Amino acid sequence: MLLRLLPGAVTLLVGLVLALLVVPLGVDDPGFSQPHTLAPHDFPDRLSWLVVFCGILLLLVGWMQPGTEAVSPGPIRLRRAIPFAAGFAAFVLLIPVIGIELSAFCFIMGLFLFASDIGWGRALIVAGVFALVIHLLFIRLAGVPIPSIVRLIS
Amino acid sequence: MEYWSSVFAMILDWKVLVFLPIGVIVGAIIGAIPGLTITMSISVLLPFTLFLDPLPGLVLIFGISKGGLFGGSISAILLNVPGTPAAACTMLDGYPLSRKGRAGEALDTALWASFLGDLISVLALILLAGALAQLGLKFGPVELFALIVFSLTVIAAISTSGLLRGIVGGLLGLIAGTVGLDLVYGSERFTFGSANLYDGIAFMPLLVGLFALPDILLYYFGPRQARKGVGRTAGGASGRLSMANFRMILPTILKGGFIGVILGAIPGIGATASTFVSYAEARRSAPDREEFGKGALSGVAAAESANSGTGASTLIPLLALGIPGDIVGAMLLGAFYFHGLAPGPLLFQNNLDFIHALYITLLISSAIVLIVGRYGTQYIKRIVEVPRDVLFPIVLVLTVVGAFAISNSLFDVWVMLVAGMVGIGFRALRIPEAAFLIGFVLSPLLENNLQRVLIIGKGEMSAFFDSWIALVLYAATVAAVVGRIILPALQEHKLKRQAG
Repeated sequence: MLLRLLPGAVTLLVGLVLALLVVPLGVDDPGFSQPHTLAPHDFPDRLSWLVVFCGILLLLVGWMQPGTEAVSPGPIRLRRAIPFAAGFAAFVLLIPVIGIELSAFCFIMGLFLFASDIGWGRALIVAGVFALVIHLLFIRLAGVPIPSIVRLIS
Repeated sequence: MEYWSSVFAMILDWKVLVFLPIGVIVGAIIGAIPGLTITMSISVLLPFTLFLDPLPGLVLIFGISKGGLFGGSISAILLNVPGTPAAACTMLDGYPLSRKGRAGEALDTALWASFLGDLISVLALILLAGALAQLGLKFGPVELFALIVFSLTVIAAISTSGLLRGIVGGLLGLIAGTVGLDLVYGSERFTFGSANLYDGIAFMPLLVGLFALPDILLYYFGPRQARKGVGRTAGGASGRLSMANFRMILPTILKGGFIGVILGAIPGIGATASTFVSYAEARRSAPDREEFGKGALSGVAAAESANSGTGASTLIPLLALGIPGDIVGAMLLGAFYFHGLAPGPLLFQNNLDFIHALYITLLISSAIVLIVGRYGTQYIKRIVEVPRDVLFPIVLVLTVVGAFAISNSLFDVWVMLVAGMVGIGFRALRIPEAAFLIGFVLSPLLENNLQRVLIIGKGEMSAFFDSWIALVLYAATVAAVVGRIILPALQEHKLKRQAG
């Protein structure tokens, strides 16, 4: 029963947070209003209350009708999730410091070695080739403006 | 003459000639790999197309989409795993054919059905988009408001998660689309002082986060999976479709192509539903209907022709009216805007040469699908067996490069990550991401036209009903909602009567 009510409850909560907190606090009042127009907060405000209304309907549907359960996205293992999240954050933060090629190489190597069964040799080759492809394809050919080790050194 | 030489100059640009086949090949490979979707691949590659000229950038996306529609059939036939949701129907007869040692015939059938379905779809686009754009010129704020309401409602109504969840997805998308500066007053909305949000939430990071990240994040958040390929292929891919069998399946292909065109042009229906309708029709009328489910060539032909039949027809409402019919349409709308082109009637007035160049490249891409399918399937088959723990790190790095590259800012990478977490939440609550994305894209258009109707009508509600086109669209909107509520109830009642 709890799983059936979950989508409605979450939608209702999101709607209420939007309508009572985010819209009143997040929209600047222009201090004047033109006739026959919507003020800046009107459109998101109406939409937020519609979300609240839909949340109530979803709660009712979940209460009365089977087959409306939330679905689990799958088991989550914190022992894997936390190191992955930390590694990912480090990868993103290192891009401006050591360039995309080197940070991508380290990140891919890390994932290959700690989150798969690929051996050292193959991991090294795949990560190295991919870092090279990124440099040639995106930085040299397409001219994507992302920090590159070559630009950082020069 | 001068006009057509400018059109052909656009097409004969080396970037178009290089990126079109690359797009088809990449799409066919990604479509064939279960777990990598066309939307994921487009969302990952879309940011990089912004560094190209408009035509090469857009044809790359079209190529991926078309190649992907065919590629999904390869793993469905050889591995009994659909590479894309739309290939689920192909699997029903394709895999039994493979097990009988007729994989080559099944692949040939899928290829010809994809080619002809796609060709019908492109021709329909060429014939209908211009005419619809002419009608679109008569659209003022009232009609546009009604059209957007209709599109959002139909997309919500068609959603497999149900009408209410579809509406919630659309509403949340509309709210997310209001972030930034207000259209009339210039007031800040939900920026909370961050200059990065003055222009709203960036479309590309949101797109990449919603569609590419959730699968990858869940893969690494979950328990470690044994390293495995997708599976072993059943039988060899040798053997070709005979002329007699081609003649037998041709009517099914043509019928499937038209079903795909009609259903694909209606916002929200898309490829998957079209394949099931076409499959059901072929099961009723095909010469080899007795073999359905056990290995019927017509089953493969019906599913694949309808699947590819939606390819270009989903572009009809996008190009003619600026309204995306599905997720790929919403992505393309973003790409058009980035290249300074606004799809809709005015695109046909101001950029007709571009439209014609696009039509011709779409026709060329149909032929490329045929060539890639004819000669590339045996190689694509091998790539399908690459495991996810090799693919996902590479895709992950590409998402970051793409998100970073748009504005050379880490802010967009964090936006992408937040969108990825929101995408996981949507999946758990079964809220369709497609409805959210289309709501997000259409939000400024809806609010703008709402403001204009209110100003024109001086606040009177009757202004919203001051046009027969708008009235027709409102009636269609109500019909879509009522149909979505009543039809399942009627079906349930019928099943109960049959059981009783």
